[in-house]
Amino acid sequence: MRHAYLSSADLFFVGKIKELKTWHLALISVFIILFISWMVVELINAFYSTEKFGLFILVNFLVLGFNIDCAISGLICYSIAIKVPAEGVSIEALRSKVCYMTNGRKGDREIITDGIRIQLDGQAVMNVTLRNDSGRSMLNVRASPTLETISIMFILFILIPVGGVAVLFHGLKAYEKARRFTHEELEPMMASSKAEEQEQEGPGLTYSDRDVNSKMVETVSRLQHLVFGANKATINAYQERLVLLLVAIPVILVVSLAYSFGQKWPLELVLIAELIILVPFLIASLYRLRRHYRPLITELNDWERWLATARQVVDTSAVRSDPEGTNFSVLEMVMLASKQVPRWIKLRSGNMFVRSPRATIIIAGLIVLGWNMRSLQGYLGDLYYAILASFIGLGIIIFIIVKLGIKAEDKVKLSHWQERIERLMSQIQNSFEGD
Amino acid sequence: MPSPSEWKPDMYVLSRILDRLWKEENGMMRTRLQVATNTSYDNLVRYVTWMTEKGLVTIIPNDGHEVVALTEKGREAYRRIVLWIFETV
Repeated sequence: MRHAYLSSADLFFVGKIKELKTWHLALISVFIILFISWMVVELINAFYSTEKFGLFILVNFLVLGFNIDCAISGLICYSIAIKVPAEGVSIEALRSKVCYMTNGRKGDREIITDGIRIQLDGQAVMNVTLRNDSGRSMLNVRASPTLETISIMFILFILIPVGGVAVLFHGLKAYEKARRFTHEELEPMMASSKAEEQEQEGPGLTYSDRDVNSKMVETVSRLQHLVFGANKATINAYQERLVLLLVAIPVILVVSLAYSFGQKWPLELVLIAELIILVPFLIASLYRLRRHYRPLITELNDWERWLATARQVVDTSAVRSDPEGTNFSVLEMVMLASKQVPRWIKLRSGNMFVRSPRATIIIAGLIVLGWNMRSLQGYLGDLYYAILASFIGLGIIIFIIVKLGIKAEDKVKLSHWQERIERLMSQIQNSFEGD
Repeated sequence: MPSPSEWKPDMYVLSRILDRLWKEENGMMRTRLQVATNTSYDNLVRYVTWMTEKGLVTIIPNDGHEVVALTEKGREAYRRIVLWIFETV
């Protein structure tokens, strides 16, 4: 079974891209081509730069992409001419709302249960609203990027030259995922209750039995969704940390080497000293990451597999052919999986970038400001270091405050879900006891 | 070993038995049910006795064998559990 999982990052782009006409796409393609050509020109320029600083620019461009415009001043006008309209188009694409509509039946409210809400809700950077219009039997799911989303994308766009292409590429990819989510997940959910009425009655099945069966199918499907989302989010977090680590170490190495050119330090010694510190750090960090994430991913994969089997069994039971030879209990599996739901929800909750975009913008702003202020170092003298330290301190304080806030929010959310699950388990227990 | 009155059945084993019997409208022989629910025979007997006391299952004689089948109360319990889980997740 395929799942369309929408992360918050994907939903960034579920804007007007859906409504883009051919000429919009053609315009975007032109911008992409211009972007690539611009990048190539800047790269060539950096390669042929005779100054030592050229190497630094090249590293910056490849890894961070910061300040390339300022460094190669001759190309500023060219880059502005290309970037500004491209940014305009992208921001416009992110600005407006998208509306999913699908035919529902009576009781749309019932269909929008917590399971579906989890999928759509909790997108801190999105305004997601669900609207019931039972008179017209219509379910509207509106998703629009917030001001913070637009600001983040704008900053990313300005900071990172290659970000422009990435934004557009990711936008199209997210659009495809959003389309799949609507068609493969939301619509079948809405249609399932309608299909129930039309379904041929199987031999020996009463209506209520069929009803129970379809509820079981849907429950398994939702649990599959949740575990899939949790697994995907965990894999993403693992990969992000791996990439961050594998990129950060060479960046530190190269940037410090570039700095040591100017200081006339013995390069071999600098390199050896750095390798002695960085390589063990890299190995230890990789080992720690692997130790933390691998068992978690394996466990989530197991849950995915078990729930897939449950789905298979429950589907087979629906047509009343006895799944001979299987002693797999779907009810037991569903009960066990329900207890995992709070954990899965926690794993699904996004990182700080997604959860608190305002703080991310401020911290990113402080980093950029601090970085750019190095050109004023000559004028400011020691004051530069004082300002830089205050920026770093401020960034750390904001980071801690936001982290604590997110932790508290998670705690409340988790306890709410734990209460729900505990209530369910005691209901089941009482039902067996006959109380 | 706890006395029968103190004994608390495991919710998951109960659900396993309930789930298996739900699919078998005419019930199942104990030995088959034991295999299908992956429990020991002694354990199954204990669970079936408990469930019979609670009115969730009934023992029906069939060709000299005893067949375990869900009662209407048992079927209702199964339906309710499925709906509660559906509403919760």
